[in-house]
Amino acid sequence: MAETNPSKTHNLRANGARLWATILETAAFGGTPAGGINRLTLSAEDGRVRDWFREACEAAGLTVSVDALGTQYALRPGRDMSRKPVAFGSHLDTQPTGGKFDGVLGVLAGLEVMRSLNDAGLETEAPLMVVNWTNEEGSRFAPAMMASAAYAGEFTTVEILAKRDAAGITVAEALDAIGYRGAEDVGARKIGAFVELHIEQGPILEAEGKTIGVVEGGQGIMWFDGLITGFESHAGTTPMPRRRDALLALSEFALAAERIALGHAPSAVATIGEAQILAPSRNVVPGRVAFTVDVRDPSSSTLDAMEASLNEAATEIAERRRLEIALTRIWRKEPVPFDPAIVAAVDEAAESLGHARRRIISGAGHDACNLAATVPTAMIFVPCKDGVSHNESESATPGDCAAGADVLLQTVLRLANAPRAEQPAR
Amino acid sequence: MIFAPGIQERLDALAAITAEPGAITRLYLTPEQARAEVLVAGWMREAGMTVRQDAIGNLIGRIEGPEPGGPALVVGSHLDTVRNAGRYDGPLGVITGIACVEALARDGIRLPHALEVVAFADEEGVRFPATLTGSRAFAGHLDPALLDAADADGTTLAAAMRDYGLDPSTIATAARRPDEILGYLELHIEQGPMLETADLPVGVVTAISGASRLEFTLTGEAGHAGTVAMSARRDALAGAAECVLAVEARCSGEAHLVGTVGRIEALPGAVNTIPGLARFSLDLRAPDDAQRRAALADIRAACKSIADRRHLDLGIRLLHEAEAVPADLVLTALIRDAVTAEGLPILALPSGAGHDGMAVAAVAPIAMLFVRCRNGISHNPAEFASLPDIETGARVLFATINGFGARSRV
Repeated sequence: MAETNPSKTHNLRANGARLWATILETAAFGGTPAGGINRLTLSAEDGRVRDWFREACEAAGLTVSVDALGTQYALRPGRDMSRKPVAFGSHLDTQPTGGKFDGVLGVLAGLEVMRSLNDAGLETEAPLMVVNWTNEEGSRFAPAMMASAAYAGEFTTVEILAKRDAAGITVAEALDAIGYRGAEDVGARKIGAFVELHIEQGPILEAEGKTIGVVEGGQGIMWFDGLITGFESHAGTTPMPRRRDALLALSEFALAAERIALGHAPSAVATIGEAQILAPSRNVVPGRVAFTVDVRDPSSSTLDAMEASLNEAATEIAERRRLEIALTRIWRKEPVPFDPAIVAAVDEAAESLGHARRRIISGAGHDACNLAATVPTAMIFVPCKDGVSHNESESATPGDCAAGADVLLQTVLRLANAPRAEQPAR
Repeated sequence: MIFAPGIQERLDALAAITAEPGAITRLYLTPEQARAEVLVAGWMREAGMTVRQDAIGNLIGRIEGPEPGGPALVVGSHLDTVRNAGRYDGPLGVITGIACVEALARDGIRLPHALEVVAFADEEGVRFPATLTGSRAFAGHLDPALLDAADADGTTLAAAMRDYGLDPSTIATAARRPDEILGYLELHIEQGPMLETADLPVGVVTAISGASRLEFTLTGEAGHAGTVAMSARRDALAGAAECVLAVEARCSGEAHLVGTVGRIEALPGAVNTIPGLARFSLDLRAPDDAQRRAALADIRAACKSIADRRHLDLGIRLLHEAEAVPADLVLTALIRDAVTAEGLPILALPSGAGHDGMAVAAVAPIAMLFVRCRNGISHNPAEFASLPDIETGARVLFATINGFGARSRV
């Protein structure tokens, strides 16, 4: 059937126009009037896009299977079936007011890679596999990225099947409802390497005029819950110096968090995303304020330093303002370094295609970050307009999507056709 | 002690009338208010007063002077409470007024003018979206449009009045003419910590502070907490944090100027999303209107410069403005004399809280006497004034009434 002529593979490009057409075609499943997509995981719309994806894969000659959490795996045979497949993909679920690219691009570009190889009549040494992970977004069922986490052994399948959405429906029930509770054990499908193409969801590539982000890893994340307890008092009769105002303390803490993150520029970020006065009234000095802190950095030691600084700031503010600040870390995810060999393959692919590129760290979480625990993994980023994501106005250009698909194709070819000894193994 | 034990007994009796067992909640035009009025009207009659209810629901007890129907000195406060209230805010002034009428009779004193004790029906404004409803109708400047305002259950003020047995078409009859009222005196707990700090049982109010209430809206850009660099952010909550601290900084240098941000909202409000919008309230008060206006101008400018530096859009909405009401110098001098007669130094202080006197000032000179309350706590079950302090307050009010009478005789 096919051949692996290097001169032919090096010139191979994905069909960008066809990729763009499939992006627009699948955007109809859950499409919103504002041009976004509302396709919550395991919803009827998700069921329809999965059906479409299965049919498209089968039409491309792939063998599609589904695991017990609904993740779809579409396999294209390699010359050496004893090798573990080189896998790539992302997710087809969206936020309730999601865009057309987050996740979708990675899956459909994966399909396009398969189609382009078919068009060129090329066979690879290792088999190839495109994957659609269940529930990356986490907006219907928590936690986000649950299927890839289960694949990596972070959760058991039983645990995940029992998770419920806001209406009380379990993952198991939702899978059954759309017919996507598969027979295959989660994690049974071995993967040799994983590459995920995704929009950046941040502004860096666009700002620097780069087409490709060679993603070196995912940053570490810490979440804190904060509660400040001062003393409620009358807004008209309590002199300023006598107040123990919880909102003033939060205001100082928020600015301290900002300074601490800037102190570890440019990589570190800190966000107070939620702030709520308990029993608020415009004429009462706030007595209690609850808030959240989200802290991220690619370095574990920077996370440690930032946590120490945040605690110091909280202590200093609490003492000076005569109130209590309880800062509780509720979650910490260590930074995820991607596999240097896979990152190098992405970098070489981008270079060979002549795309302006830079090394980058993923600010957001992705299925690839979960996979990295057990599979040699890397990611490819392409720019999105104004860095906007999780929004119906999310936008990426056809040219950038095509460039991303080309880099994915060339990366996959490098990995799948590498001499067996060089195939990264873990 | 002559006054305090009886006053305390009545405070306790009123506190037992509540919509919520175990708490004190007595809202306008409720069965609890009706029961409280029956009780207080009984005390007024026992003290020899004729009692009537006006069109808005205020309860008015009166003893005539030598000339029937002549102008009256009015002593009063309110009977309604906030939810889960204390027992002193309002009732203390009404009950002490009645106790003074009893003392006049006991001492055989005939005043040269009429004396009224008014129990205002709605000062707190908990049920309907307006405060001082009772005293504003009393002073003849209640906006009739308020009759269409609804409570949380959708009942309009007009409907609630009818259910209560009042005729909303007659509220204008509650209005008193300036020539009917010689002056208005109100005894109230301080609701703040100044008397406690000065270790004094009573204080003389110089003015009821004016207030500005505003809403500030900062608009930046929501974004992913993990992907937008600090330097690229337009974080509306971070901007609001600076503004809130600017309010504190501006208000901290001056006596009696207070600024409070009591509400804040950060949207969309998710742990991993940079807030794109922050909205907060400002409540700014000062006894001097020029002082308040200058502070407000500075706060507006500071917020504008914070917003500009952070590339945020700033919207400012003025919701409400009330001018300060200065206490009448003649009435205040009488209170000062009475305090001095008790052998106490004078602590003159503004009222940061609003009171019925603000509304009554439209038709009469007003003055107020504050009684110390523990830890400055009010609108709370922990609200407390001691028997000796209540006694001192009642003695000063009684002496002030007598002083006013003596002055009128001259």
